[in-house]
Amino acid sequence: MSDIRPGGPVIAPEETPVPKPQKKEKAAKPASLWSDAWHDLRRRPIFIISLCIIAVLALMALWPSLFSSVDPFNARTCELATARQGPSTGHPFGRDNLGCDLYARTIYGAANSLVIGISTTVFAALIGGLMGLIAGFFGGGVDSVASRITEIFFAIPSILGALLIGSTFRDSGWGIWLVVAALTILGWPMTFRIMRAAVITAKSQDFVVAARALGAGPVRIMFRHLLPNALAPVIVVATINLGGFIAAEAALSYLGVGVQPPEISWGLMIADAQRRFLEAPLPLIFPAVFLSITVLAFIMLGDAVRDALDPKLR
Amino acid sequence: MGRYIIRRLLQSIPVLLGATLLIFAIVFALPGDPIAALAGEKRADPNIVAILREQYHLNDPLLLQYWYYISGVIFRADFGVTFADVPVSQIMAGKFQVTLNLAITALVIEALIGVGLGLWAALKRGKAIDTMILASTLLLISVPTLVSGFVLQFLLGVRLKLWTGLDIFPIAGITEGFRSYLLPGFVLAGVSIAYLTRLTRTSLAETLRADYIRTATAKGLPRRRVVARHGLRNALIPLVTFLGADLGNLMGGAVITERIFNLPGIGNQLFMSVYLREQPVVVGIVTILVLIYILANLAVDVMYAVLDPRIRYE
Amino acid sequence: MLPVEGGLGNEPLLAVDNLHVEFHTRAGIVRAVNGVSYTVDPGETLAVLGESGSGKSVTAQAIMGILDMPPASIPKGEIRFKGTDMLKLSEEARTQVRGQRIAMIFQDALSALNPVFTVGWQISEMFRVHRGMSKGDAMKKAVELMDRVRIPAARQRVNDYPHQFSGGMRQRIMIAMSIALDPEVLIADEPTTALDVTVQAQIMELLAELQRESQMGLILITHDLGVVADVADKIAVMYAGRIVENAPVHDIYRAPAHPYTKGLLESIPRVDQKGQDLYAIKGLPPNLLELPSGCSFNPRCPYRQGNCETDVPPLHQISGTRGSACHYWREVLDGDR
Repeated sequence: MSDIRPGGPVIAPEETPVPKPQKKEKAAKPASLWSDAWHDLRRRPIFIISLCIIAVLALMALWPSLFSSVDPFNARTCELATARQGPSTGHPFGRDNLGCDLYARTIYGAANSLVIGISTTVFAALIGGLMGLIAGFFGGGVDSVASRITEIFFAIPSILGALLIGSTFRDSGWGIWLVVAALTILGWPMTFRIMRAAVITAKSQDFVVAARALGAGPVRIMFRHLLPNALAPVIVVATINLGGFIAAEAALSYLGVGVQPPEISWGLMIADAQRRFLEAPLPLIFPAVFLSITVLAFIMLGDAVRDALDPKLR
Repeated sequence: MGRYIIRRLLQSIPVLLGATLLIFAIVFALPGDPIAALAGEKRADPNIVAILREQYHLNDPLLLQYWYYISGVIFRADFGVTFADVPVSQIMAGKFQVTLNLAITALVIEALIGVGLGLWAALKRGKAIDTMILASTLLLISVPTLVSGFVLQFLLGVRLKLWTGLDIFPIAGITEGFRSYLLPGFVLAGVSIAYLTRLTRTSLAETLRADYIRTATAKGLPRRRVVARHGLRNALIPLVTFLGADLGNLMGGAVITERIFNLPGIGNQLFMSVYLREQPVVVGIVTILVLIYILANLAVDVMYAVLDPRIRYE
Repeated sequence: MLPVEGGLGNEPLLAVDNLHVEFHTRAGIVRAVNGVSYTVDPGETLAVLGESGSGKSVTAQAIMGILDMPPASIPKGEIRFKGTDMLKLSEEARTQVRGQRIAMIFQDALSALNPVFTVGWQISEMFRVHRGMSKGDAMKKAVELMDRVRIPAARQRVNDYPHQFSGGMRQRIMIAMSIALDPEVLIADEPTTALDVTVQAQIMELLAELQRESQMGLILITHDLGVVADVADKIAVMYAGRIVENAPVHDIYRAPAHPYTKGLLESIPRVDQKGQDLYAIKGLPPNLLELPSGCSFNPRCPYRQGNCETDVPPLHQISGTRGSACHYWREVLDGDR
């Protein structure tokens, strides 16, 4: 039976002094790869911790009023006279440069981070994955053209590219979806490369050759046989990238081409607070801590998923 | 080898053209009339505007404009002039030096810390120190540049001086020469340090499991020599190539760091040029960054051949 | 300077005595070697025969001291080189023995040689590190050694990399490296398995010749009975981490005294049996995590009787030079099944 773990087949040395009786079932077929990975994940503290953090963040994004009774979108909750005041009752994080409640703004900032991070990841994985699947499956001219195109996108520094796209289409009225679009355009080539490599590996495996010999059509081969076997590495990369996209959103918002006021974003809050950072560090520290914890949660999730799906990298 | 390099350079021409055309098209679509912006508050004389539009080929179709531009770059190394009639190359020259200094400082810091920590972790694999190093890479990856930049600026730039009287890290500008780049360099290197640490650890650990390491031990070589000569020499190959490719990434990703520490580099310049709608400067900077990316990747492939005798490019 | 000195007396050159090796894995303790004993004298060739997982390579690695510990551990046994128990020596002292007094060659020379150094560099390293020679002198010695193992145009090829050689030539380089410092014992772990049949014979011939010249003790580890017959003086057959039979080579070929040896011999294709079915030992090699109780071979054994499932057979001395770990060795010797 073929060994369908990501990162290419694991070649066992001819004579291993230690027999690994559990190995046989592990390598049997993709279905057991997933159940194996799940079994492995459930026992990883890092996975559990990151899931808990993400669950809390998701709750914050979906139902922020659960955490804060102040509505940060209501301008009357801000009092300029109290700008940069330290923590007090009712305002546990203090107030920002405009005298708005920092805690409420920080809570409400989770939504944009999560929506942008997750949407970008999904779109980049879909576009890159589909193109990678097609390029890897058809090979030849299709593959060369697709690969050249991805090289073009790789050659453009992503944060600068996103800065250009963001500033050019600033008045398009797309709001946060412009950020998603800019990050997707510069993010999909990564998934493309992973998917293409995985498909090319899977394509030469016996069961695919057999399916082809039995007359299965290209669409069926791609989606029934190749996709399930190439999915694991794509999922690993997607989870790891998610944290990166959230950080990129904050960076773009900081540069003024991401989320636009009056929307709330941790990157915007940092940009706003940095002008008075030296005298009042708290308005910068709180969104920064939330941002870092969010990125950390997704990076940890990605690490755990990678370890579970790709034991070779451990 | 020479023939390989020439072939690779020829192959990268479409990438260069594609990437610059893409940037050109985005910048071309930047909202607002640059000539009108140049005139500022005063209403410009329509005749002068017409002459200027003609002079800068602004009435020509996009592709033709692109051709005027790129042929100048390729055949005369001429990046054009801004609408204020300043040569773009003159604007870029000093800025590139700053960003290059920053990127190289970051690269050196990255190499020292990343390889050092990675080796330490690999040699103590499974021990407490290994776990600690791995956990710290997780933190390094998770804290976005935006956050680490401001926090370190505050702690090491401001507070350290306040507490100890030591003025080691300037918080902004490049007036202190080499010292000015230390803190920004570390901030810029942050995520790369973590990835390099992990790569070093995996690479050395994998190398130490190789058959030729067993042979070296069986030859009766002292453990230190086995690791340092036979292990490291092989484990080094992916590290050097990672560092080579990272130079381009660091230069392209320096904008946030340059903004935070107010360094007059290309990232900062690009940011300002986008707002001032200095289209020739924007395109010029990105073109050079794309070139650097292409050359860095070519250098990496050549380094592969130098470091690994099994690889021959013909 | 070397920690192991002194005359041989009655001691063999190298003696493995009741050696046990375990691997601690997540699935449990794997008992890879369970009380193996054998000896080699100067100029003598011992063939250790067995299939994958029989413990033959692990034993060799224990002699060299190149097992990774942990996960491996040696709870019991001695490895005496000229009377000194190597397992009691410090790591430093063992490093002095490795490569200089006891050397080893490996199965797959391509992966056993370092890909990024020239073969000359790798051979000459022995002289530079252990003898303190200059680069130039060490390189000259490397060329001499390559000549000695009959690598054509050694002077030109000394600066080539391992991947630029053919499989047979690579194994010759491996051999040159191992005999560089005239070791007293050479362990060859499946030296010809990865090679073409014609090349196999040349390599075996070279090993035999080198051994005649230098009077090394040679331990030849193999799973191939065909390789053994011409070169070995005596054979130790291993199964599931134990020696099941040891004997001078001719005795074994004439009349095996253990059902496993007998099975191995009968599964060699022979010209005079053309057209008949080839014999195969039934069943699968044992799982080292859960060895069968009693004699490890009993589930596959045609001679099995009641006590085979309960009593571990000791190594019965059949004669001064022969032993068989089978309760029914007499029946096996007599040949009735």
